[in-house]
Amino acid sequence: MQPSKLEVRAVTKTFGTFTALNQISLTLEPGELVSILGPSGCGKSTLLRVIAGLDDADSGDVLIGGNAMGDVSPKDRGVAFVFQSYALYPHLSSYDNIAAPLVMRELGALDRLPLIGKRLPGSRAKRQSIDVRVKAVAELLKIEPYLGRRPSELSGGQRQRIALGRALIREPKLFLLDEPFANLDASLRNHTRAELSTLQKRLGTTTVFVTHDQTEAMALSDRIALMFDGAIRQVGTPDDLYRNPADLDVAKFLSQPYLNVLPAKIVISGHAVIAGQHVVIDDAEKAGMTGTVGFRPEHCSLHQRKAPGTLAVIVERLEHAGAEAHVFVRLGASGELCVVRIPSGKMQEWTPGSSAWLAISPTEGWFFPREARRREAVMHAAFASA
Amino acid sequence: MRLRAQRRAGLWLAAPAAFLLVMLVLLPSSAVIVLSLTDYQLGLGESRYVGTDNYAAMLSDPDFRKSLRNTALYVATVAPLSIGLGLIFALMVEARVTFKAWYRTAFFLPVTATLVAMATAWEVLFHPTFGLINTVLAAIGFEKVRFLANPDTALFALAAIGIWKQIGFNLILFLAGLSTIPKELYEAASIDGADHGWRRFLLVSWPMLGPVTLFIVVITLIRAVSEFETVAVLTDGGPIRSTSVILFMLYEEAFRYLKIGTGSAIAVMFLTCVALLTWLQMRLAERRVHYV
Repeated sequence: MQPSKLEVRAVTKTFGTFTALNQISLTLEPGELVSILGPSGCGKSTLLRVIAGLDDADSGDVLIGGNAMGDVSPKDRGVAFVFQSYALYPHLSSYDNIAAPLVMRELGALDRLPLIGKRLPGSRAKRQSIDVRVKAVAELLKIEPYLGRRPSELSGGQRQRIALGRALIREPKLFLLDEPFANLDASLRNHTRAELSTLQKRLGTTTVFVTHDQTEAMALSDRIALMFDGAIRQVGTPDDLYRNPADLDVAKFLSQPYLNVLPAKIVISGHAVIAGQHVVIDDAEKAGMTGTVGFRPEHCSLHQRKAPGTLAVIVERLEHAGAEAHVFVRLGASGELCVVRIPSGKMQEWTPGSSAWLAISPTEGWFFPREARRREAVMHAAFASA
Repeated sequence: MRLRAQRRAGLWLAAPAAFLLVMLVLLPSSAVIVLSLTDYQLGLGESRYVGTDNYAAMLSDPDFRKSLRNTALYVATVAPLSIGLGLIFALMVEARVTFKAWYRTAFFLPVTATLVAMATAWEVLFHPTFGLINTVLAAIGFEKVRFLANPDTALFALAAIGIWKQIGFNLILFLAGLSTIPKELYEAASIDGADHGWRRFLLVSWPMLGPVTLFIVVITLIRAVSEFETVAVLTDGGPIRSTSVILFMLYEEAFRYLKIGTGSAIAVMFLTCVALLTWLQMRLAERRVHYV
């Protein structure tokens, strides 16, 4: 099937007084895999359900392949949905679970009758065509050995494949995956993730992937839409989001496990005052703004000697993390905690209780204005200077 | 050492239940089996061992055969209708958004009400001259029927009461069963093309109701087989034994004619039937029921 475009236009959905989706707009190009990433309760699953037609939007439109979905029922939208719980039919074998969408669509009520159905003219041909496709999907997912078993006799990973198979068999215009790996253990999750990525590229089906796991989203996606509180804060490639977060929430969410944040004020363009000290931050463009300087542990360094623009800190403790180590330091002036990443080979250079000086990379630190998005602030500044 | 201590503790913990089981179930049942082999009559001092005479007499007694037939007919009417209607009403109540609790209560009321009192109310409804049912029948041009006095209709009139009583119970159980079905299964079905009606019912609801249906079938069969109150209150087994079911027959033999031996033989028959029914049902359904 030709890959389809998905457009979500200004979709709003409320539950009572709670706004689950607030004017969401998002476009997926044909064949694209876009993750909807966000903390639990941010509305990402609701968005997926609105796209599938399982929930109705209060306002706004969903277009699949250019067609408005308005009153189109879920079964006629050409979408396949993989549930977090897999939602397999417990009384049916894996084979029948995978075949279910075809049986429901292609066999009439008479064909589906037990005993009689098989003997009806034409029914045999229909069943054969279904059988061929089930076998093909089973081969693709390498699940042929389990086709005869019921879901209760399968492991989590196997069930997940059956659920994928049931989604694949319809050759949908759109794959909708709701945290499909959440119930798998860590090693299986990485493995399945790689497989899904390969499969999606091969089939070229437009895919919306909902997850709360930023690593998963970064690894799989062509683009990521990051959601907070029912609104999309930023859409972009994984690299774009990682290097250029639009606001502090985005930066925090994509800087696991640590993001250093320090209150700051811009005095002159390119200089922020942090804890009474002038620090060069290229991102701090517009003089007079107050806000926060954010930087990752790898965007700063620790020095034995004082230099211009460094902050006096006390080393608190060190954490070994394999190739790297984290040094936790406290600012002498304001008492804020920061984390610095150093090669683990250099851990013995620092002892808890000793003084040190923290230098923030001028090109990699971000300045987040209070009450505004960083990019808008950047754009404002550019506009003002033009 | 510890194993022995544990074993002893286990015995002590099981003892009260075991004692009650022996006193209340095993001993009386054994007594019934023993009595069924004697010609014991209440009030007479002497009794002697008669072997299987009671059973032979019971099986050749046309009244007993009639009561077996009546029971079978009663069960065949009450069980399918009360289960089927219970399921249909449960699906209807479940589909409603408003007044769900009200419907649940209304349907469950007959289960909680005292049946003897309710039977009297039904007697009024069935009354040939001023009963509501006959008034309606007359209004739409049918002849009046003496439901409880006519041998052709009496058993079915009682069956109607039995169904009325059992529907609410089955409905509540079906509702409980329906409420445990995960919402996502219905959603998966709606995407797979079974988004309403019969298809959805066959793909999701019915298979998922398997365990509760098994329970309902067993309970309903046992309750229908052991029907007694309505017969005793409304028809006294008549007219011309047309409503004499097996338990009523037992009651008559043992407590009206005081023939404890014969009554015990019927009781043994009855218990065997119920046990067999339950066992068969469990065995048959075991493989077809899917506990999630």
